[in-house]
Amino acid sequence: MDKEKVLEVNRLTKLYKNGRGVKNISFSISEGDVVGLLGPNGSGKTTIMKTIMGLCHANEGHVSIFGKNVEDNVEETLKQVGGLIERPVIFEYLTARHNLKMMARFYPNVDEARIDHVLKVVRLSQYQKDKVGKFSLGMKQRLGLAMAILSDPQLIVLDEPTNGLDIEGTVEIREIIKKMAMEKKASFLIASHLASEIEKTCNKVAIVHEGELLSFETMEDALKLNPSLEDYFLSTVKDKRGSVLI
Amino acid sequence: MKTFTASLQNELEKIAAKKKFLVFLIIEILICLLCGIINLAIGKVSSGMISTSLILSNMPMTMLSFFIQIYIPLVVFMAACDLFAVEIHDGTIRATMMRPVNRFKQYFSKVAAVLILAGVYIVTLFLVTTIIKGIGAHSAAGLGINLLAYVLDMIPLIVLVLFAAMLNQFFNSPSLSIILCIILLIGFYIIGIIVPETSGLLFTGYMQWHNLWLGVTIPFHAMISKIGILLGYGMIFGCIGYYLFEIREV
Repeated sequence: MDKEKVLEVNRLTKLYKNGRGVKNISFSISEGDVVGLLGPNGSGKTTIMKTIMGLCHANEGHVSIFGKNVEDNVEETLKQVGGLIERPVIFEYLTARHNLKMMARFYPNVDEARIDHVLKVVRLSQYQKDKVGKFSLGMKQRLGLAMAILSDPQLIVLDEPTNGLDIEGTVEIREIIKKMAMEKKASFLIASHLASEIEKTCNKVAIVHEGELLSFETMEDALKLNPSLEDYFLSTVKDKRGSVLI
Repeated sequence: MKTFTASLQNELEKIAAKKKFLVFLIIEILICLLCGIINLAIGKVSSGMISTSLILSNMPMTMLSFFIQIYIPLVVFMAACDLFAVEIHDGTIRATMMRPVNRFKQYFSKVAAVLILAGVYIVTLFLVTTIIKGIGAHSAAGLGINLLAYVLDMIPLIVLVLFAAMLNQFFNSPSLSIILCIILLIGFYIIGIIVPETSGLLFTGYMQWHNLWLGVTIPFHAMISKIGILLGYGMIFGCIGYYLFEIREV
């Protein structure tokens, strides 16, 4: 049976004034998929994610969530999406709990118990009454993740989610993602420039290079002829570009 | 409507979390108290030659003129800058932009929050000056007229808030935004003084909106055109500001 399409990116082009951005990107994510967006810094990963979250406007093409265009139905589509783009967006002069409480107001299904739950998931329960300005980078990142999963969304967009986290924190985030995908059938789009991280977390991988989508495969297919995702990335870039610039 | 209310509540909480707005409110109260005390002292020193009750009975209106033209606009500029330019600058504007609330509601909830803050300052000013008047002049005469004047002066404040919100869309730098707001306001006041003919065309010429409605009133058709000017400014500032906010990429 075909899984329901959660996200559909169709011929997306977003170019900035300096000519950089992404060109003609198309891919889709189904229920329970954990898709890794792999590419070097400046390849366009964040631009794709920003457009999905409605932070950027596409020049051409469109992004649909559960079949509905994001730009035309912001309120309806973003109800089902949680995101952490570039760095956690938090008000440092407020407490961790207050930050979550403010965002919870936009969702009818999020109550105090849910806030308690997400704080527990990201191991910030004991710091919930502390001002976020006093948090370490890792704690802020974990709070950012808590804000992304707060509404129990069907699609979670994470840009470098393990940024600033220690080994323990990285493993924890990975486990949270896997658990949510398995138990709640939540879909993830995770951007990273670390092939090893994508390999361990995702079941599908998209290679983005210089604003173009070079490949979109299941992890199984990607690793069929390559010993690691890193090798797959290098060979894909070499195949498409003729050379590899490292 | 529910998402607008949620957004408005968030914006108000952000303002409330910043202590500077409370400090400025306390300063407003202190200025009023100081004026009252000075007037009483003058009355005592002059042994009744200078009637303090006369000065104090007019205090709500005197204070309104100062605060509505100088003090409250500064608070409005600071709040608008905090909710727009500062959030755009540090990226926290994304917190709301990634939530299921459209940009129209986001923009006008911020505008409404700044307006409510200005309202709090106006209400506090009215209460403090009225109490001082009651104590110093032992009179409650003109309470209704004073209240009406304060309510009427909220109207040009709406335009001022929309003006500040619009200016904050042009720059990503908070300091540049606030400086520009102040310079333009002072500039408009100066133009209105140097070239009096233009004061009727600038929205800053209507900051004391109550003067047109209370006391010596002007003919009704002239009032209509003045309402139209203020409404026009409000619509232009509101539309430009919202449009720039809608197309903004963060």
